[in-house]
Amino acid sequence: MLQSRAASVTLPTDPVIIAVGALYFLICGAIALWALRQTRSAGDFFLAGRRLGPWTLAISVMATTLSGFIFIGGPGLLYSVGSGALFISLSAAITTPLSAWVLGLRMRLLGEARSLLTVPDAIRVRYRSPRAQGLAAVAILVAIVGYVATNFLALGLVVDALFHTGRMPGIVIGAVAVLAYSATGGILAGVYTDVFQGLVMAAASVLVFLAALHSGGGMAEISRTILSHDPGLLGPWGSFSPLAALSLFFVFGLGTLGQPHVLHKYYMLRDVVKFRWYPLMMTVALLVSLLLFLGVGLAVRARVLAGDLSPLASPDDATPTFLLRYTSPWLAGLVFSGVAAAIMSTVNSFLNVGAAAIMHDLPRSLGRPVGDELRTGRRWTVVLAVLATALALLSGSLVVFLGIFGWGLFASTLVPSLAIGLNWPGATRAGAEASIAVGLVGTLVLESLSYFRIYRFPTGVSIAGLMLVVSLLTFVIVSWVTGRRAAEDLDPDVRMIMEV
Amino acid sequence: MTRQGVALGGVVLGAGLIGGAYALAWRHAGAPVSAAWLMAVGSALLLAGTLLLGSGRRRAPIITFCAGFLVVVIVFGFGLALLLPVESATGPLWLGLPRRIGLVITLLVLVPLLVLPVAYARDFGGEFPDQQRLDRLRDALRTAGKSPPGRSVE
Repeated sequence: MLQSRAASVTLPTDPVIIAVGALYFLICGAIALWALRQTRSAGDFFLAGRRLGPWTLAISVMATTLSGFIFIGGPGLLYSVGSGALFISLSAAITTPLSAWVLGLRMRLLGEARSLLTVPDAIRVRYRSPRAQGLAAVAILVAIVGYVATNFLALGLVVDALFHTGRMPGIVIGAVAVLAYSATGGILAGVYTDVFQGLVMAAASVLVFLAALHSGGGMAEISRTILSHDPGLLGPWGSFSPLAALSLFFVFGLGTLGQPHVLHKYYMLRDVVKFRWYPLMMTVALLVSLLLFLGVGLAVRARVLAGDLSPLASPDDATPTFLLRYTSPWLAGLVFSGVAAAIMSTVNSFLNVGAAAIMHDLPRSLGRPVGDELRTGRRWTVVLAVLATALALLSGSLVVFLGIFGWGLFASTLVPSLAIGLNWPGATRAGAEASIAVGLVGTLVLESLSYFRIYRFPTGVSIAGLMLVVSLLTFVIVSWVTGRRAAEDLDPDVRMIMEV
Repeated sequence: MTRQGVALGGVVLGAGLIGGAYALAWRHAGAPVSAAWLMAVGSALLLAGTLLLGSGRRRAPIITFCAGFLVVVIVFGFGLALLLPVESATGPLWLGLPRRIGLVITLLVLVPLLVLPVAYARDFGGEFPDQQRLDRLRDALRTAGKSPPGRSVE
């Protein structure tokens, strides 16, 4: 979404903004160099050596979860549709504890007991099904290529806005910067740059939120200004229908349990006992980083309605316009570094998960595991990044299409077999394979019909939500039909972990 | 009905209600308000059912409480947003926002933030009070990993 609507994001040539942006990239580079020296095995490259503490895990997951959307597209959406935009992040305080209860500890223990490397590994072990692992890897790859390409486009815009490089060179510079640490240090480099990037994001978010409140005379005054001109914007659904807003809550609430770049990080925790406080740390970090989304969207809308600002040419101008008008250049530089941070941390995780799907999951599902997983993983990281960069440079509208359905595809293919299947002994291999296949094919077909305007879905119907429901029901029904001895077929250690 | 049956029933019923909400949107006149109610109740049941499934074979009263808590805050929060009258420009504010969206944020974000992570920490602390408990589980997992499928590990 950031990419599709952010073409007008521009900042003036200001040495302070450029210096802050350059400092940010230098620090990322220094962390990557350090991590490169620590990466000696496939376990380091894909699992950060299983040595993360709870704070590192929490901030890294937060940085990975939030893309640039939360800094640019999110405030823009709030500016244009009002309160309805908040439903994207309304489940933030619920999903992390839910994910920890349902998946966190089980995936961590399963990863340790079976030396798992990837999320599809957990599916193979749970159902003793290489086919389910292969299907999950295909779904992950389809979603990731578009997601990464979309994020490279967005990163190109940010690099251009900071350094005035032009959009195409910006894409290449951004891609090279991410690839430099993704291909050398893998997820180990990614996690520690995530921590730095997450801190930048949180600091930028709090400072800009305070500036937003100050600019409008406080939240109450901002609300009064909007209510006196356009009260519908601050109704609970904004300009969405109630069904559309609630559908966002459902998709982002349950869909979070199927995001592989987040679930993958559960394998990396060093000390399982420290997992106790992870949900609190992660939820607080997430909500702090969402403050900018709320503050800027409403403050800019109030200033426009009050006549202090001209109406925006594009909703995505909300954050840059606010920064230039109401904050200092160093804070503008910090926020744009925060946007770059959000994008880079997400891309690094996706590249790592995608490379693992190609070099680990697909060969294993075909019964042909590769030998040197570290070297092969690095190679495939480069290949994926080059492919995504080429897509971003050459095929704008296709990239937007591919980027749109990533979240929904992850949700419809992975939520049933993981969130339900790792907790329900009655789930069967046939149920898992059917739900992943239905989620993959159904999402691709329906999103294509909608994107190419062959069929128009009614207002309020989310394809991601619809396919999540269809995939869930497929999983349960097929498992019921095929599952007379499902619980007895579980491997003993897997069953023990499911009973924890 | 077993605890797991109730949880799975919540998941299936919730998914069915959400499917029903989407189906209503295909009506010629568009989605009625009842579709929003179905979506709210369906989401609550689906999330609570999934959480309840996560308790494994434990009794886990904290998880049962949190599942019930989720149903209440989601249905109550969104129900208030659907039922309360539209605000005027001079009406009362909540957290500096119009009452309905202020209540939604309070019930769906702030109250769960105070309850769920703390409940998780208490539940986790009860299950794994120290490293020894975890080490015993690891030993049992190593033994179980050497057993053939279908064998009970108890």
